[in-house]
Amino acid sequence: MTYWKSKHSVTGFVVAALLATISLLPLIYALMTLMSDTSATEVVERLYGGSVLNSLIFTISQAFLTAVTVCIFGPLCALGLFLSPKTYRKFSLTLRIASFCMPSIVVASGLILAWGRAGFFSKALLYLDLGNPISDIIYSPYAIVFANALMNIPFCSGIIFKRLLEIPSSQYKSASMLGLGSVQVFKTLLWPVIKPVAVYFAGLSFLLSMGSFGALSILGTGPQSETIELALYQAVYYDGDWSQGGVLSVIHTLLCGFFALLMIASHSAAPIKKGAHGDLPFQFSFIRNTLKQSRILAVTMLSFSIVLDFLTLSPLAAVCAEALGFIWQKNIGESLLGIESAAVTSLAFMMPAAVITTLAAWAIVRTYCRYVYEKRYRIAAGLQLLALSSIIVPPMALAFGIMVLQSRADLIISQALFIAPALAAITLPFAISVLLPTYESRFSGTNQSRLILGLTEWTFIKKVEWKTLRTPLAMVFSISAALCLNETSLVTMLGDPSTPALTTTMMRLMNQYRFNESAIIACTLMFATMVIVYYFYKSEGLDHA
Amino acid sequence: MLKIAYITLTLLSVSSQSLATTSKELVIYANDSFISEWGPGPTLKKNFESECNCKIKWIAAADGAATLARLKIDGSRSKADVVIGLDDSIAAAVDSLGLFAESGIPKTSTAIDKFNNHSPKLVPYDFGFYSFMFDTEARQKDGKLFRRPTSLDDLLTSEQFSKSVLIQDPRSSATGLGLLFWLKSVYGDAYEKALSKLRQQTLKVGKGWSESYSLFTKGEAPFVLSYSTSEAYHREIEKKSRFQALIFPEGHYAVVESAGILKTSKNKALAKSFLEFLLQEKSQQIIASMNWMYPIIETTKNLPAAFSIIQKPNKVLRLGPSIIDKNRRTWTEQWENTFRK
Repeated sequence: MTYWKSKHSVTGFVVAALLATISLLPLIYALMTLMSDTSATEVVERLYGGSVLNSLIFTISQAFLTAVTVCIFGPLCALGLFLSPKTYRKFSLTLRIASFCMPSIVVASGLILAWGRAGFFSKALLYLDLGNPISDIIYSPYAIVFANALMNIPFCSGIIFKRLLEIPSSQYKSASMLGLGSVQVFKTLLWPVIKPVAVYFAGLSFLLSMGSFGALSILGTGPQSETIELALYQAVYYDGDWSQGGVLSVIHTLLCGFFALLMIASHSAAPIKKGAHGDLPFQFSFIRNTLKQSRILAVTMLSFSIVLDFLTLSPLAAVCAEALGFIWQKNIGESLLGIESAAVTSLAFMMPAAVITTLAAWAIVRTYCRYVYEKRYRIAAGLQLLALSSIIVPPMALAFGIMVLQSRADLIISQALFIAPALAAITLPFAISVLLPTYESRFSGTNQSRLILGLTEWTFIKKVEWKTLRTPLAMVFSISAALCLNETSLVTMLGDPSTPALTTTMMRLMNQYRFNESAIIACTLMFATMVIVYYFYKSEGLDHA
Repeated sequence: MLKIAYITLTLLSVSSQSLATTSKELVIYANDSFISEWGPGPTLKKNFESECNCKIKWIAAADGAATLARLKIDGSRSKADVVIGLDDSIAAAVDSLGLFAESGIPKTSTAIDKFNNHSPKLVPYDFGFYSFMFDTEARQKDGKLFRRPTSLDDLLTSEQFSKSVLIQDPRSSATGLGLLFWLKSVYGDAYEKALSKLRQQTLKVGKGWSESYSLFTKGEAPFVLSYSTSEAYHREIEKKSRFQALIFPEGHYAVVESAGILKTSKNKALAKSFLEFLLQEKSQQIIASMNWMYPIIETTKNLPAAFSIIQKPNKVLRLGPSIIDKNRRTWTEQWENTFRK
């Protein structure tokens, strides 16, 4: 046990504390600075002044609606995957996982291109003399719920599908031998796995919808559908009202913190089984046959699944069509000058951020697992909270904090230099959630053997951990890279306007009435994400399903 | 040792030579639309650089309102020398910041007096009239073409035009704010009622003009808030008469765009020469034919032919600077309250 007292057992704490400092310190500094400028009475007046309260109500209600939608349709669409043909399922899974990492502005602008009044599919429906309810949704406050649900349901259903395959085959075999009916199988075998994942994703969707910026900036309908995130952007970017920005940042952070804690608490209680890939074809056919026992239910699930895929694909297809149309008509080389420098900027933010996230997640996870192994649960829980603290600070509030820090504290460092570490802090919770289960399943108990073999910490990392974790770490790197590449709000707020990143250039092109050129960047981001996510999909073993 | 000294001296002389020949840099904050490849920015930059032995560095902002916020944040540490694209709807707010220096350009060099200019420190370089653009090929749900509204009141009250108008958010867009001034000028005390009518007809409130206008040209809505000169662009460049400006008997609000020199600029003389350059006849023609606004100096030479085709409003509306300064916030809040319902 003396081994655990080594200096390496604090590495995770140091890394987590550093990233927590990056995400929390600027905001705390900003609040302290602004508190001296703003009286308590003014804060209360601003809070009840109308616009803040309305934004607050809309933010929570749209996030709640998104969460409920994800909770209902996620499991249905996951089960629908079991009933679809194998080739289609492979495509569907890639699409569903990619949709989560896709920039929200691509999905939102694609929705207008596909389902707007003059959209591709709207024209087709008009030609067939059919109504188009989606067109009405797009120009209503519900558009944001629709877009958020389209980005979250597919991913949720993909993960539920994967979890169902992780149930040990022995349990399926027992159910088969006992001749359990479809309702009993669902209640005893499937529901205990589906429920925690669906609840967790509902919570995650709630949190992500609270900070939704890209989709809302495209689909928003003015003050009627203004979230706290957009109100903060308005206050800082257009009104230059930093006091209002401070009030909104606090509210947003407190809200996110509260719901994040709820989500973490519900997640820790979730009994998700790990490492049970055994007899996949048997597990697969068992679930399929169980679902087929009720024909109506099977048809419903399959229909939901296909409709979901169609709706997920439609905005992406519309964006591709727009880009292809532009390439067909014009000399692409001339008009896209500047995009290559935007790609370099994006890479300059993405690569260090993804490397920092991967290494930080690795350090934190191995420290966490050691404390759990030693049964020092309180310290482990403390580390977990510290590592996940960055999730409570929404990107826009973080950007605001950094802006105040940079200008009020007279820092010579450019705002842009904060982007990579801030992106790393934002993506860290996702990286940990991907790496932790793998690390737990592969290294529980191996530390004892390491002590017996007399290996040093460094040799163990080099010879054992690195070799075993290469693939999961690459997976963490790829997911972090995809999320960093497509992050919009932080990059928009902090980036240098003279060297914009891809997402900022895309927004700028849209603002310059060059929609089809922005579609080309959207396609580039989309394919880059697809490639990254396909690697994730392969590494997770989903291609065997 | 001698070798090292020789190399050092050579390097020093080369670097001092290169410093001596390095031209000055003029940093300009401008709207996205002004400096985009189809805007006047690139041509003006090329022409000015050939005259001044200097380099222009554009820093883009989405809109005049975004530029204003950036100026507020930058304060006295702003790197910019010149700010361009300041719509006079925000001129009063710009004045109150006290960030601009006297330009030193006499007012007589422009034809602006007829519009009651707002800010003495800003130099106007173009003007236009707010107007709703109409898509003459837009169809209703039943497949019939939309009829052309006869007046502003017709556009705001007719049920046929319900959920058909694209406007911009006055909190983030100068055109959006200009619409409020227009409505106030036309409806006076009945302004709030007019806002309620506008709310019924609005399909979407965009953050900025470009976003709304691109949706309009995609065919998403038959009407968009823009400028009367937008029609000239479609006629001249696209050779299309599909998109037309609606000229109403109630009158149209005139808008003036200005530029100014920041107090903190270290290149004030160069900045002044740039503003003088903007008012030259050649530059004014470039602005008219690429920014699609009327030139501020009285010239008709070499203007695009479409400028003589498009209609000019019979009645020009303006509000005094003190009225705008006093009521801007209240009018915006009234708009916000109406559009939140």
